[in-house]
Amino acid sequence: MKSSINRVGILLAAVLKVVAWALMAFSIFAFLASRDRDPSSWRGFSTVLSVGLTSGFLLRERIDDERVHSLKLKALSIAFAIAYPLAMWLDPLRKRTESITAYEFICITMLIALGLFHFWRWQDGRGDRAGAQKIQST
Amino acid sequence: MKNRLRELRAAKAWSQGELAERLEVSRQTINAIETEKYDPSLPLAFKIAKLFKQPIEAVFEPDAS
Repeated sequence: MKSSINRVGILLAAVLKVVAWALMAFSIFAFLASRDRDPSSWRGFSTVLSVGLTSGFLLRERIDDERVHSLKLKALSIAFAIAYPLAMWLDPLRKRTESITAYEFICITMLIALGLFHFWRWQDGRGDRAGAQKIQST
Repeated sequence: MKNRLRELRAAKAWSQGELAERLEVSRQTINAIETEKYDPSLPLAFKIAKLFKQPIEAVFEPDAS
């Protein structure tokens, strides 16, 4: 019973992740294709983008173990610590009179968090050849 | 924390993927434990020890600091 619920959860998360990435791809395409650089258009785009990036980060992985949870928490903490001063620094550089929106801040944070998480995951997957050779030779 | 996971796995002739499947974690997690980048939680450490039929202190050893 528990394993079938778990399997449904994994399937649901995978479907939602595909939907989130498709939504993001469509919104990026629509934003670029429309060539509409009106602030209201950008606000709509950043809203969709923030939802997509947050879903992509928070939805469970295919194998969602304790290492994934630990890396996600670490990535989110560091991303927030980087995004906060970055947003404060970027804000005066923009030509717009209004400040950076919460959706834009979420986009920056989630982009950094996703980048860090996948980089660390890639590093985890890299084989330790020296160690493996040592075992083979014994 | 030091561990003998790679050695124990090699003795059983299991790949990282096979061990990961038995422990219900990802292959990357096994690699991170073997390369001592990551110390597993207590439940996972007990699971590893149980799988290899070893006492937990025979698999994991604290750093000598």
